[in-house]
Amino acid sequence: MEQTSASVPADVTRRPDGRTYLSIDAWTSDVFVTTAREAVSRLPRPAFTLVDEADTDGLSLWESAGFAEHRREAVFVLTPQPAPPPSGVTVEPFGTTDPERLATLYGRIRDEVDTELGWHRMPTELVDPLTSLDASHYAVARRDGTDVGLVRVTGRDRQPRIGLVAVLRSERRRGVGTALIAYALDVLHRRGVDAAIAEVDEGNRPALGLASRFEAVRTGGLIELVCR
Amino acid sequence: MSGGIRIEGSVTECLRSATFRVELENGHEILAHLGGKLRKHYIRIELGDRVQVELTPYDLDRGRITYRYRR
Repeated sequence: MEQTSASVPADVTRRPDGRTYLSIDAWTSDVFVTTAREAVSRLPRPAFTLVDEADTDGLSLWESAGFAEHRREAVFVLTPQPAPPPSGVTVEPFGTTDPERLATLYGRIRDEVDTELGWHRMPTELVDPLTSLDASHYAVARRDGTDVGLVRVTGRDRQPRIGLVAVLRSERRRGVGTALIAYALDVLHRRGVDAAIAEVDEGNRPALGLASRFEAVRTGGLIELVCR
Repeated sequence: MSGGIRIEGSVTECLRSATFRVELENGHEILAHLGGKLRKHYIRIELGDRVQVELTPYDLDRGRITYRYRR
């Protein structure tokens, strides 16, 4: 049975931040490259894709199709470490934050990322706050009745993943992010899970430093490729 | 859709290079890599996971994981 590019699914995902991600599954190299070139010719630029860092064959196929390395994400396993919240800060447990308050905080964080780091350097897929902001995945840090940061954990019963840790600009470098991760890992520990996965942009030194406080063990990595 | 044979199986080993050993329902064991859509959505595969694999028509000992079932 011969596979042609017409029968190969080229899947396109547009993330809430506007980035377009392409994935292609083909059995042969020539079909893969042909399909990738055809797909990308119809897509808005830049177009992105993700490849496991150990997948050297996949990497060279995407490069043949015109993609180039954009950034790298390290995959860490984090383990529980004690880190109480800084003075005056409390952590609201998962699922207890009012959805409207959570959406407001999330929106403020999105706006700050827009003007600082930029979504193009954010490692994880972002959720659409209008449709997918599930409060059960979030714990929120508060100071004096004001929400100042959040942590999102998914897959808590099976394969926990810290998908996002974010603290408002005015509250950074005070231990709030560390406390949020420590809280999340402690909740998991109490449920019998002693580790969580986190992807960290390898160019984000503060995030790498934060991960290192939880005895981060690097278990792999992803390469984000871009076609401009 | 893409010319492969779809079958369910269980992950028996996680290997390097984003490859997994999967025991199919019929007892046959294959090597499978992670499908692009799963990688794009940060779906992780672990030992013991129940998965759907698509076998390549060119080599029935190889395939790709196209779906991970919930436990």
